[in-house]
Amino acid sequence: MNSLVPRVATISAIREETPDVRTFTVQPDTGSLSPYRPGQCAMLSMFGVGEAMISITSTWSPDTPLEFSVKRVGRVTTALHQAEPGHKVGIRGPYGNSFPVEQWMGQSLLFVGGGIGLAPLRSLINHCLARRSEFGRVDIVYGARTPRDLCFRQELFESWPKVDGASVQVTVDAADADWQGPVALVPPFLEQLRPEAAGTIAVTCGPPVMIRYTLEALKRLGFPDDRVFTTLELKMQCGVGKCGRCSIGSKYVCIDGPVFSCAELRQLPAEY
Amino acid sequence: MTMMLLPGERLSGLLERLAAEARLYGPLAVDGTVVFEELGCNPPTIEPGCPAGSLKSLLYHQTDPVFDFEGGYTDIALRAAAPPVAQVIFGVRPCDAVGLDRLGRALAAEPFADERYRQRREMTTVLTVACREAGPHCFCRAMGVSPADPRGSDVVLYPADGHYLLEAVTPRGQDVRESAGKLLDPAGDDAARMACRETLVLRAAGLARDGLAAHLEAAFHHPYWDELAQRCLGCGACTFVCPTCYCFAMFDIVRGTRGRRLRGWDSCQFKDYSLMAGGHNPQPTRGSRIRRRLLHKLSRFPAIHGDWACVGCGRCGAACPVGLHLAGVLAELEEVLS
Repeated sequence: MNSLVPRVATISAIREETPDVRTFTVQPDTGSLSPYRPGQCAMLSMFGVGEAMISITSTWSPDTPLEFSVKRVGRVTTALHQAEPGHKVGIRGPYGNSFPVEQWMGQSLLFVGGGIGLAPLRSLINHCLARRSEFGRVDIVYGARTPRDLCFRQELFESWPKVDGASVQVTVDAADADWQGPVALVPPFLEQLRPEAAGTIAVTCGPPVMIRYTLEALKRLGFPDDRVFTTLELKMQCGVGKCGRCSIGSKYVCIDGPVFSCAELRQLPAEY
Repeated sequence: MTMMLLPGERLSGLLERLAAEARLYGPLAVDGTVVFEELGCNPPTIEPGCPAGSLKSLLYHQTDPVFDFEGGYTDIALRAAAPPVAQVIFGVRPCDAVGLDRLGRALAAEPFADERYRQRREMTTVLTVACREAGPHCFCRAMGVSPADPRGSDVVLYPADGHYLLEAVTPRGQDVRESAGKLLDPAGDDAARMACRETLVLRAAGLARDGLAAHLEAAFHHPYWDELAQRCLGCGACTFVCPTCYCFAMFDIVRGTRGRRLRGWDSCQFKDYSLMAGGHNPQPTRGSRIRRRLLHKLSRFPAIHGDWACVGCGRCGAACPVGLHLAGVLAELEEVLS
């Protein structure tokens, strides 16, 4: 079997998260994706348009439907946003490494997300909350440009805050008339919250500039580099380490990433 | 391995036998440019140095179907591309044959081995003609490749006056030797092979350097890359003629309810190669793209796959419209790095 040939799948449901983010439930027509881990991605195809690597938003279990939250940015994602339930897509994967959750047993967890960066974090957060007793505190810090751009509202405002020992702090860059919450960029907002670094693993996903300043903030807060994790995203064509595009030094984001610790990032050349 | 002797006048007989069993390719002059083509009844064009077009075009096609699809938005069927057919390639140069080994290390690497490449490699017999004379762009020895290198070849023919010394390198090569039968005579000595091993490659002189990879990585921020960028046009010709460059893009074509996904060679020298939909580009300048290519060939590929992603064929220099030659860059790097 050629690893570049996807399996045919059907979009079974579409949920609008924000004006430019939709969550697609995708059901392979035959068989299923092998069990995937938080942080892994898959290549989604729109036949006649092309492919894009998208992080898997759902958390694997035998009967959890496969979900992808997709921001409308380029050709493939625009075509996806024009699709309706019943539309055929292609899927191949899961690809890439995953968050090393098994090494975090007994630790508290701090998740810092920005915009669509909450999509890969959601898979991880739900994975950890399903094993709530294995971790200490779970703190979620999330921000978006405006209140309209907040993804996964149901979980953000209803299910996650109800979990014992969990907190959710939400901020926006710019408020609208109805917004009662904080107005701040994520990195300074995070620093104001003064999360406890001792015994805590920090994971951050978001736009590159947010990640950059969040990593700096975490450093000032006392988080050591090997206890801070993030995901990288570069252009990809194959997803299997062949097409060359997503290389950083001798690593490929598609197969060696997308998850890197901050300590690993510091070993890489400035090519991302 | 026993050496056999193929008298020059019997080469066409050998090629006829090979063409009876598989598609036969070899170097042919097309409008004065030597490229690998189906030979038919034409005698191969063997000139000093390597053909202008690299061997990779026969194993890793410039555009190659991945699968066909047919249907509409709610009903679609995929059909994988037809498997490749057997081919024999005569007149390969040792650098190109070694290049196949390098391509294979990248494309056939597990766990996501490229089946198209692997199948084609398995269906290909490589008959190499070793070099008694280097071409004007050759610098193979600097990259650890010899004009008599047997790696990647099934058969190596060492040219001598009026005959070839024929060595079967692999089991597939032994099949060729057996099917040649009485076309071959016993060889008295292996002088032709020894002569090829001694072939002078002038451009390679003084280019070898210990620890090149580490030196290059240390020069990551050196202004040299931007100096190169002032001359480079960013046309990507070097990557397309390179026997070890393997970057590709995928694209769909649609005709009514039918379509095809293709894979085609791409070039890391193009600005949109790494440009993301949101506008971010990790290789935003021509200098950064040149640096990326050279570091990949001489540092990162060796780190992953154990050897250079350059075999010293010199095609990059021959094809470059502004005459940027990798051998020249290596020589300049001596100054830059010292």
